[in-house]
Amino acid sequence: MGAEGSQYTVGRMLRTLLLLLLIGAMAAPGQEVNAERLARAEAEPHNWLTYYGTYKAWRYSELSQIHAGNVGELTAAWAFESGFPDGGLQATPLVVDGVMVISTASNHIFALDAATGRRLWRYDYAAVQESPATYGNWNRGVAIAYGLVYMGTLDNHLVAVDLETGREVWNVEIENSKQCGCDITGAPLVVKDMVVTGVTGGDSAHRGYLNAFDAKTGRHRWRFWTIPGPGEPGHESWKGESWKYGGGSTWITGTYDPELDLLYWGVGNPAADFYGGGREGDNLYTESIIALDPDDGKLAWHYQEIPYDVWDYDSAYEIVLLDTEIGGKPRKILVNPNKSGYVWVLDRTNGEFLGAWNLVENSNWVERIGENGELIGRNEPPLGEPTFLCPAIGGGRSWNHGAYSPKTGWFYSTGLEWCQTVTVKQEEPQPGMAFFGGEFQMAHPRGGKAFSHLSAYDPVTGKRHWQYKHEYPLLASQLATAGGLLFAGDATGRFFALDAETGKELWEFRTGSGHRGSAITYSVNGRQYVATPSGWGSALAGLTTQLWPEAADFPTGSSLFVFALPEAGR
Amino acid sequence: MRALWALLLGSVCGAQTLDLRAPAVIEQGAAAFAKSCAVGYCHGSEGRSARGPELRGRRYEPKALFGMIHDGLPGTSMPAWKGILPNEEIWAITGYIASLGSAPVAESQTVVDLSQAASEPARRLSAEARRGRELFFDLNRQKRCGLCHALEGRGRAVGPNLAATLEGRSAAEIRRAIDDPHASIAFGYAETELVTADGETIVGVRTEEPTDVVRIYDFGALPPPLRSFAPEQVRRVRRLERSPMPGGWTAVYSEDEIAAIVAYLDAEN
Repeated sequence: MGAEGSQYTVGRMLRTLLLLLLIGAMAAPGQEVNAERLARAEAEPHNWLTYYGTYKAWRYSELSQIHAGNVGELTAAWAFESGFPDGGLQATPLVVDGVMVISTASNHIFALDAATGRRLWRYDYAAVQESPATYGNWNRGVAIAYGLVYMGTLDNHLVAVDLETGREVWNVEIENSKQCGCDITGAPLVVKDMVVTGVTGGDSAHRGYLNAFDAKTGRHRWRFWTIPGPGEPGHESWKGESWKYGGGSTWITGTYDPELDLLYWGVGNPAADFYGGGREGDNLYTESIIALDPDDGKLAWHYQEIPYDVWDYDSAYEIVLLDTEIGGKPRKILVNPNKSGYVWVLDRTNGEFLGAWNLVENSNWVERIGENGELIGRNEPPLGEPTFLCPAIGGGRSWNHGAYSPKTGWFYSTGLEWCQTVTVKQEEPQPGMAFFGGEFQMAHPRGGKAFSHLSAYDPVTGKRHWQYKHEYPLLASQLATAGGLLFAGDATGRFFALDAETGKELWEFRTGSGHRGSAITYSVNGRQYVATPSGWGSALAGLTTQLWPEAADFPTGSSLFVFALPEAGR
Repeated sequence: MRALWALLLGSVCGAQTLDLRAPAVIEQGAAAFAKSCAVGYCHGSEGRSARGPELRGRRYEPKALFGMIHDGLPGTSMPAWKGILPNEEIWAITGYIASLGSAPVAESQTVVDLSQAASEPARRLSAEARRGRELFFDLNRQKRCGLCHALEGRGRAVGPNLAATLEGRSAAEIRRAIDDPHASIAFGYAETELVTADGETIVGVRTEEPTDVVRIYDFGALPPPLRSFAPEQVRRVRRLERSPMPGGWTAVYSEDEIAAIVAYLDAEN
C-alpha cells in the first residue's frame, strides 16, 4: 500500500518533449500512424487512432457536427455484419484516415471503408481452437501504427498484420496458453516504437505480466512481472510459493502520458479469487496502478487500491488522465474506476492518494475508504459460509469504459446495483488451471431489485450531477462529444444519445442485439459518423440471466451500426 | 481422488465400468464441475447459466454429452477437455450434469465402459525427471527450453521435436547437445539467414510449410517472432551449417537443474 517515490526525472521529460517537438512538426495526416501522431491524437478528431481515442483515455471527440440540437435526425449510414456472433461484439473500432479496422470474437479482423462500409480485407487468426476455457473467445480491440494492425490472440500470441492488405507480418507467442491458462482479449497499446500488451489469467494459477515488443519486428523488448519474484521488492507480500500462482492479470488496456513519459497499467485481482489462504499479505502488485518507464519496463511508482483482495475486484479498468485544480493547486491526476465500484483518484506523477468515491449504493465489501486510502471495515467472506456481498463479481461497474467531457468537466460512468452470495472453498493451485477458490450465486440487493445507472460525476469528488436509471445492466462504453452528447447502449439493443448536461434522452435506435462494446465517432470528407458495435454476449451477459431470466432470450450478434446526419441535397 | 477411482472402478472386476447414477460418482462430478465448468463465468454454480448455456432441466444422452465435453464444440467458446481432465473425470461430470437434467438417464445408458476410452496412463517419471520437466517449461524463466521445443502439448514447436531427434541418444549425448548446440543439427533445422530488401539481416529458423510468403522465426529476441515476407521483400536467403539454438544454458539453469532436464529428456525418448 502507498506510493513509492517517483523515479522519473526532469531530464527524461525534456528529452521526450524535444523529440516530440522535432518529429511532431513533420507529422501530418496521410502518413502512417507513428508515436507522434498517437501522442497528439486529439489534434485529429476525424480519426479514432487508439483504443480510448487518445492517450488521455477520455473517450471524447471534438467533433460537433452532430449535436444536441440535431441528433434527433441521426440516421443509419451503413451497417456491417461480421458473421461471428458467438461471444458477441465487444470491440472498439479504430479509424485512420477513412479506413476503419475492427476485431471480432475469435480473433477476426476486418478493414472497412469508413464512409461506406465496403470491406477492404479480412484477417482470420488460425489457432482459435487452442484457447483456454476461462476467459471466453472475445476480443476488445486492436492497435494501429507503422502501417500495421496489432491484435492479441486467444492462444496468447501477439500478431501484426499489414494495414493495407491484411497480410500477417509477424506473430509471436508470449507463453503457451494451455500452460499459463491465459490469453489476450484486451487491445494492445502502441507506445513510442513498441507495442505493449497485457494478458488475462487472473482467475488461473498463473503469474501475471505486461510485455513490450518492437512494433516493426515483434522482437521482445521487456517484461514487467505484476508479481515480484524472489529478491525483488514486494515479493515479501506473498506467502510461500503463492507468488507463482497469484494471478495479477493486465487484461484491460492501459495508457501513456507522453509528457511525463510514463506508461500506466491497471492490475487485476490476486488468485485464488475468493480464497486468500496461502497468500496472506498485500499481494503486490495485484489491485494496483503501476507506472512504468516505457523504455525498459522498470517500475517508477505503484499504488495499491485493494491490498489482499478476496472479492475478485480489479484495478484493471481504464486510467483517465486529467489536469485539474485541487485545493487551488494544479494537479496532474489519474482517475481509475475499480471493479469494486470505487473510483480512485491519484497524482499521476508519483502515485499519491488524493481520494476515492463510490459509483454504487449497494456496497458492503468495505464500510468505507479512509482519508489515506485505507480500507475500513473489510467484509471478508469466511471459508465455507455463504456470504452476501455487494457489488457482485460482475462489478460495481464492468470493464466497459466511462467517458470524460472537457465541455462539462464531468466523468460519465455506469454503475451496477447487484449482489451475490459467495461461498469460499479451499483450493490448491494447479499451474494453468482455473483458481477461483469459491463459487458465487448472483443476488438482488436487499429489499429491492437489481438495476443499473449511467451518471455524470465530478471526477475528483464524485459529486453526482444527474442519473439515468435502467432496469438491466448497462454494459457498453460511453462516448462523449463536443456536440454536448453522450452515447450509450443497453442490453435490449437500444443505442441512444443523452444530453451530456442533463441526462435527458434525445435519440434512440434499435440495432437488434445488446450493446457490450465501445462506440466511437469520426469523420470522412467532412461528414461526422457515430459507430457502435452491437452484439450481446460475454461473461456478464450470461450472468444476467441469474437475475433476469428473460435475458436468456436476448439475442447475440456481431454487427456494427454507423450513423450520420442526412446528407444535404439528398 | 485417485483412491476413490480405484474403489469405484474396482467394483466390477476386470472390466472398468462406471455407474453414472452412483452417488459417489455424481459427488465427484459435482466437485470437478465446480472447479472446471461452473467457474468464473462459464456454466454457473450448479449449472445455473452464466456465459455458457443453462445446463439444468435439459434431457441428456450421456455418450453425446461426454463427446461434447471431451471434444468441445468447434466454432463456439466450449473448449475440448480431453488432455486437460482424465476421461474418468469427464464421465463423472457427465453423470453430474445428467443428474441436473429434466429426466433420468435411460437405464441402458447408466453404466459406461471405461476400458474402451481410457485415458492414456500417466507415464512414470523419476522425481528428477519430473523436476526436469518443470524446469524445461518453467514460465518464471524468460529463457527456457520450452520457448522453442514442444513436448506433451507444452512449449512451442519452433525447434525440433526432441522426443524424435534425441531417440537412442545417451544422457551424455543429450548433455552435449545442450552445451554445444552446433555439435549436431536436426534435419530441417539449420539456421537460415534472410536479408530483406530493406537490408535487415535476420537469422533463425525458416518454416517449411508451403506458402506464398517466406516465413522465418527471428532469433534476434526470445521468444522468437515468426516473421513473414512477400518474395519481393526478400533480397537473399541462405542456409548456414549451424544450429540456431542459443547457447549459454549454464547461465540459465544450474548444474543440478541441467542434469534434471537431461533426465527428463532421457526418459522422454
